[in-house]
Amino acid sequence: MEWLGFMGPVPDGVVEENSHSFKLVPWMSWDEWKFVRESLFSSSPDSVASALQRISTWRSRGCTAVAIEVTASIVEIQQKDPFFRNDLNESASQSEEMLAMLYCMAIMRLVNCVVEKNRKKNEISIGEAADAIGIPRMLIDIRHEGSHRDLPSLQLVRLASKKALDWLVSYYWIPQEEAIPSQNNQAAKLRKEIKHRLREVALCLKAKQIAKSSSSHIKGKRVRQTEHLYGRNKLLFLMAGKTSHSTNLAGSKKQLAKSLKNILRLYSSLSPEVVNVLLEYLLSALGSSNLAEHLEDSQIVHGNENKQTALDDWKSVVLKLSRKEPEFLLTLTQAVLEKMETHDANYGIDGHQSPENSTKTRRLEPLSCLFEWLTGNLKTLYPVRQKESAESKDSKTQKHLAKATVLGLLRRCLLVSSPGNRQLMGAALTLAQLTGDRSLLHKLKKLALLDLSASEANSVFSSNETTIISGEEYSIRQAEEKFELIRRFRMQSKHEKPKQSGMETKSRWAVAKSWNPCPIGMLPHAVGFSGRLPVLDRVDECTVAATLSDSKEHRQLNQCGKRDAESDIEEMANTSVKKMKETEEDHVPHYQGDIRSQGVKGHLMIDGVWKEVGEQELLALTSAVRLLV
Amino acid sequence: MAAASETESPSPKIFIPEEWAEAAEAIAYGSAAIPITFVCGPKNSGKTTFSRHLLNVLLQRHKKVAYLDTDVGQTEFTPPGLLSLTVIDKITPDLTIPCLKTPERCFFFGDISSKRDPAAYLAYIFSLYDYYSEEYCTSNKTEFQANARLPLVINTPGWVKGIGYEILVDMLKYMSPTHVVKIGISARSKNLPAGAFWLNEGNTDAATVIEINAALQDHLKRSVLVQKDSHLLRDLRVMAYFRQCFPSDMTITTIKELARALAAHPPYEISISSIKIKHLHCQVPPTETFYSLNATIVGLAVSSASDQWPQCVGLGIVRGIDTFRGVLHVITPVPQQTLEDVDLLLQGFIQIPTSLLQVQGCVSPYMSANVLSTN
Repeated sequence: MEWLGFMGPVPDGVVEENSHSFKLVPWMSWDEWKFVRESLFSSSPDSVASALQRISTWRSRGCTAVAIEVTASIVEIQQKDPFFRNDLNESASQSEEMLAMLYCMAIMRLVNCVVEKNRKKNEISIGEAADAIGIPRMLIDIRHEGSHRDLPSLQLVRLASKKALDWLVSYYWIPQEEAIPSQNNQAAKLRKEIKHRLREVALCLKAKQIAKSSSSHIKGKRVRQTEHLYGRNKLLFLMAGKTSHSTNLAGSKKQLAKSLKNILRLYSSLSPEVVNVLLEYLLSALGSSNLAEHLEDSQIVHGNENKQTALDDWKSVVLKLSRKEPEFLLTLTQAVLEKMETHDANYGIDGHQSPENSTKTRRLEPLSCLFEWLTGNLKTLYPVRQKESAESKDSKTQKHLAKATVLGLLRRCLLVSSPGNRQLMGAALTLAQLTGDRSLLHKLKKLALLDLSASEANSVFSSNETTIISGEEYSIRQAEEKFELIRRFRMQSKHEKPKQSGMETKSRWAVAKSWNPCPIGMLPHAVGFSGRLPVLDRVDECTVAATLSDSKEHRQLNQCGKRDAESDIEEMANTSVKKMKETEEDHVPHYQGDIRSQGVKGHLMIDGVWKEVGEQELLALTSAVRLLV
Repeated sequence: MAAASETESPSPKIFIPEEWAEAAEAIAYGSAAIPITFVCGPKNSGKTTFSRHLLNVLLQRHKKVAYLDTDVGQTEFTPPGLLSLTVIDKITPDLTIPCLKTPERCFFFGDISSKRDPAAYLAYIFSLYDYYSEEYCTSNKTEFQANARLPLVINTPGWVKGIGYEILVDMLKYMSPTHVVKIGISARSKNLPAGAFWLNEGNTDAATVIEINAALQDHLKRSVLVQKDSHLLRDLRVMAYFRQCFPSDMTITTIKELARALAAHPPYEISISSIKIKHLHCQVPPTETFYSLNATIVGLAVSSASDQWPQCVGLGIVRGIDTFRGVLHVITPVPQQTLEDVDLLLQGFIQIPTSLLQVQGCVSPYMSANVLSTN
């Protein structure tokens, strides 16, 4: 029994809803709407049919705009009319009487529904109100005649249907399309915003540092004034910062708190963008510092030490943010990994890695350094797990990283690494320590030793053969590691399974084992609250029956059988699934006049470039993966 | 003023006039041992309030009373969209606060008004009534099988004109109640016709018709009707229903907290292949099913060979669909044991309250800004 009475603040809830200016729509993204918009008015009957199908689905959700429904009705009738479609055969078309009735009904609905909601009854007639909106007179007349007199002729209503569609396009479709914020503007605006906020934070931290280091009795300009300088030139700021009579500590603290709050607010709704921008800053700072080391180029304006401090700046920003936002560090680490994987895919993975090795390591070096540093921080932030047993569910107090997450990171790290890459090896060791799995750590240490000896051998003998051999041994070891990991996964899940089946028969409705909060309608991400848009296409039943069983076998981890082939295929399937990245669409409810970022779903990484992939191609790809068995 | 039973505390907002109290007494303590009461009248005339009061009065004499709820838009003990038969055994102390109970038998109609499918609506109601007759009315069972015979109260929607009128007539003819309570308002044209309007002439099997007036009247003897925001009330009911997903000691007092809790609540996972999906009032192409289902409210039903229609056990929110793993994520307060039998998801037009989709930083993709407001 439950009482309704507690839902006290109801009127507030309602009022707030109105002022949000969010409305319930039947489409998942504006891309879906745009797809319908284009297909509905295209000349190909197939696209029109698919658009009509989608609109009928929208109708089932119950919140479609009446203009969309009416447009769909008219288009559907036109599709049945041999006047508009030349390829209709005799049997498929309706009689003329039927067509006239259909058109007439559609036009009546158009005039009534579009007008009805706004009209004050009994003050003005529907005809007058329709005229006021700008509905063509022909439609109004047809509506009147259809409801009170004879059915208008087919020729007349055909003509009227064309006019009706034109009017609907100008009344609804074009204005709505213009109201959608264009992606480029939006994304650019957001990036600017994020950059600004991040720089603010960096500034404040820097100021704090300076304030601390310099003597306390110096008073002077406040940091805020130097912000404008900072926007243009980093060096200028640094000079200004060092020479200016710094702010008092309290002022900078407030500023810091405020800017931290801003960036965290941005992060909570737009985490991927924030992470990407920060990553860019970090990499550019790293990159130019490396550049200075390797090339000793005098081109660089800033002195070496300045760049070092810039890197430290950003590092301190990361540390500060990670303390405030628990999952930030993890998200950043994952982003670095993804970038490394992109590099990999770009340049291909070689079996024999002798000459390629060093260049690849070189390329990945800044990323690897970053990764190593990040994992080091992860270790300090999260205590090492002692027990291996099932996860406890206290979400607020617990700061442990889920073992599955760490193992996932470790696996990806190993996949990306190569023999000479000491930083990644170090990072892998740190991650292994985080899992608390001693045998795994032991194995990795052995691997690291092997790696070390291989590189030593390389430097001492510098003969191709030994490097090749040790390289091979290394890659075999690596493969073994990965295999071990997967086997471990499976063993664990199998251990859990007999426990479960001992207790009860497998239930059809099972609560999800781990769940990250995400918006209703989306699927959760491993880290963060933003969620990802689901792929909702469904192939027709008969073809799906055969392929579904295949895909299930390959995608579930708790299948018996430890053949290498199967595990490899599985891993490939998993990585292809992982690579299927769908950037999310998030809404920032009240933030400076309603900025929205637009997500684009359905991107697949092909040859290192995010390409848009249609449903058909996706299915073809997934079936291609299965064929390897 | 208020006809107070010993445990019914009169709420200042509820006014039970003398007329109503007498009517209720007449039904409860009248000649019919097991009264079957049909309450009807125009919108906002007070049918629900009268029914609740009648329930309380009947419970003074009988241990349990059955309640057949046929108002899908403003349901009494269930979330909206359901037609249900509930057995009540406790007096409702405060007539203003409704509460949720688990019905004895329930069908998912899937809409807030009967107009989309009157035939199905009537079929479900007749099936519920037949069930009541079997279990609680007839006395042709053996001693230890028979349940005690229970009185029945039937509440109806306020649609008394046009198709709604026809539906009421059909219901009355089928159920042949012992008492029919017609509540009338001062605007005579809006009322039901006088007398036993559903019976053909010369039909002597008449029920006792009690005609009462709406409770409040102004100085000009016009009925004062309490206007309700039915959309809001329905949303509240849905929210109260899903509030049951969480333990009652968890502090959720505002809608925002509930929305946040729902977004973070781990859902049930049911594999797509082990569930059937049916769209009740709308035709959806099979390839588009998931587009239609994602982030909507569905009825959870058990299809069995013995019953003609699937029994509904509750509502669920399909909060996500993972086509790669082939699972649906569903949030529902129905206990897991009952859930195991569920093999059918029914989709109707029960809208998910939009305030549940708007969580700070976690807004559903189906809530969009930049939408033109051309109705």
